[in-house]
Amino acid sequence: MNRIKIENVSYRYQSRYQTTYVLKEVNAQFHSGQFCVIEGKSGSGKTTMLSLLAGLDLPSAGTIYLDGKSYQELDRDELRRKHLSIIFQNYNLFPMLTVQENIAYPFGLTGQKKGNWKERVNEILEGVGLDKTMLKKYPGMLSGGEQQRVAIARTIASGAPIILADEPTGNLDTANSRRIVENLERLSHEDGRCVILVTHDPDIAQRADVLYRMNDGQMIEKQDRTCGEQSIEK
Amino acid sequence: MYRIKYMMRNKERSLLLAFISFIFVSFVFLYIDSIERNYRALEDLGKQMPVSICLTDVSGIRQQGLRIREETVDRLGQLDVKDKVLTAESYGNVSANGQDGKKISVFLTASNDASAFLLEPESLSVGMEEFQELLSGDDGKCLMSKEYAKERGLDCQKGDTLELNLYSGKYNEIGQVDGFEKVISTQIEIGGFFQGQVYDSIAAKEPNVICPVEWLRSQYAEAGKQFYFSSVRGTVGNPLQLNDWKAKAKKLAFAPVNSQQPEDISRIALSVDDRNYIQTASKIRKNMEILKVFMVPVFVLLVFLEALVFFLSIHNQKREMFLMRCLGIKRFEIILQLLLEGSLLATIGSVTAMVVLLCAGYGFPAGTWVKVFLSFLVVQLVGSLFSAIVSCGRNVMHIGKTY
Repeated sequence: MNRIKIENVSYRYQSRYQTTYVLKEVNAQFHSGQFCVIEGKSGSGKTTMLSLLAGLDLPSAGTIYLDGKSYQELDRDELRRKHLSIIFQNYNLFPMLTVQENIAYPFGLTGQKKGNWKERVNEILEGVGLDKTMLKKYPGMLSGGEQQRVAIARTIASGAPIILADEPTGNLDTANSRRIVENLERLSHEDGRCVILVTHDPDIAQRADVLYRMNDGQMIEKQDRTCGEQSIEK
Repeated sequence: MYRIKYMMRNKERSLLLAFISFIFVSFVFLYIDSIERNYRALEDLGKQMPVSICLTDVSGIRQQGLRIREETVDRLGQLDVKDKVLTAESYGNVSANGQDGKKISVFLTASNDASAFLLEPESLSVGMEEFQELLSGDDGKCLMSKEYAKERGLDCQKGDTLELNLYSGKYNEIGQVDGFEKVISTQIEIGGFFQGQVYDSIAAKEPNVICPVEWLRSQYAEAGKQFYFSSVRGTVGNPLQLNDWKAKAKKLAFAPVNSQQPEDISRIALSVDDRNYIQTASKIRKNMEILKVFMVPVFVLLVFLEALVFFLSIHNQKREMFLMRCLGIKRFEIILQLLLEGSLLATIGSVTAMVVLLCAGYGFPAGTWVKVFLSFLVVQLVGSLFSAIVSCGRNVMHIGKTY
């Protein structure tokens, strides 16, 4: 299913003296069940792209569609609550909530916090490779890898069909990076979610089902490994 | 729920915010209290250090033995004067019933208040209350000097009626009695006796008979003779409005005291003894003025500091706010949560301050409590709202990179 479609999207910052284009007429499509990676150097416009995909900002030109509906037509808070979930490089867990409460946080937003929510949190936690002893700990007591897995657990708990990950392995060592990427791959391949990961790491890019390469705000290459298609957009 | 947990678990921050509210509200109340205390001190000063006034001659030297017309006293009645003490003097001769031909000369001093005389209770055959009652009424009753009656062979008892021929003094140019003029023949009942050295605090001459001033006045009125008071004194009703009082007195055309003028018992001036009061009141007023001058800048500074603290406290939660935005919580919901949290902490701090102040014995009118509390809450809400709007307005994707 064609979940997200980006059509001729541009984004610019207007300062007093000049206009800076961060994204220039970008086109892309992201499907359910695919592990999509947007690769690019620092300053290539990846994070801005993710910000637009998350509906945190609107493009200066062009349109982004979710299941055929443009973002302008949608309630973008609702979009983030029900359809999207974001994973950050710096984990961004609530520091004053325990692991259990952090994972269960989306339940309250989507009206799922009923019945056996604690058991569901346990299942999700085990699913990302963490044990129950972590439940009552606060994020500050966990390692970076553990925190990122709790963030993934929160994403799973949200039930969002689209996951946006902004450099999720940027602060992690190789072993932890691999584990995180495996978790995300599993979410796309086994749970059928659409995972869009932004990175500058070529090793992660190699594992993508669909790889977009960006440079200077432009999409310079697309590799669709599910059907062996390769194209240069511009 | 998250905000409540955040408050409960981030105890240092919550306590700090509540404590700042506590300090702010306590300071505001103590500031108001110190102004009110000064004001109360000023009010009490009027009671402890009354501003006394009296009618004198134009030279300001004589306060007794004056010839004050009734119209002058009526004019004084237009001013706010309390504890007014009036005296009048008259001459006469008396004889007891059934002792025809044996008349003795007497000097009468009349007053409406016992404080006109330096009398000790033991020197009176009646109680002080009865004496005061006698003077404040207008019955034809008097107190007779026991020694004087005995010395002059006047055989009389309490309850006896005296035949009294009243005379007014004729005054010469220099204010001395130079002959008498008969006013009326009347009767007066002996209500009691006084003895020993009795000094009239106002009249220079020692009285032989003390009677109510209203009674004496009525006798002169019955005879159609001009009645004069010999002294009038009192205190300013509300010393806090002394300047207004003086302005009104000036309008009533009381002659000002002029020490260059020669003594003249017929030319009456109004003398106000306000030196001590003004000296002390000036100090208190100066304190009040300093407090009032600094009130606005101090409050503005406090309001700014308080708003700044709440601003910074919310600004420090940008990370959480961004995260909530990313999780799909609407901006206004986040702002509302932050405002409620801030208000709750501010309320806890300020209510604690009020309770502590109440326990410490600071009493304020209910209106003051409510006004201070509400104004504090408004300041806190504005500071928090501004901070929340600014912090929520940022592009949340920077959270992953910047913070």
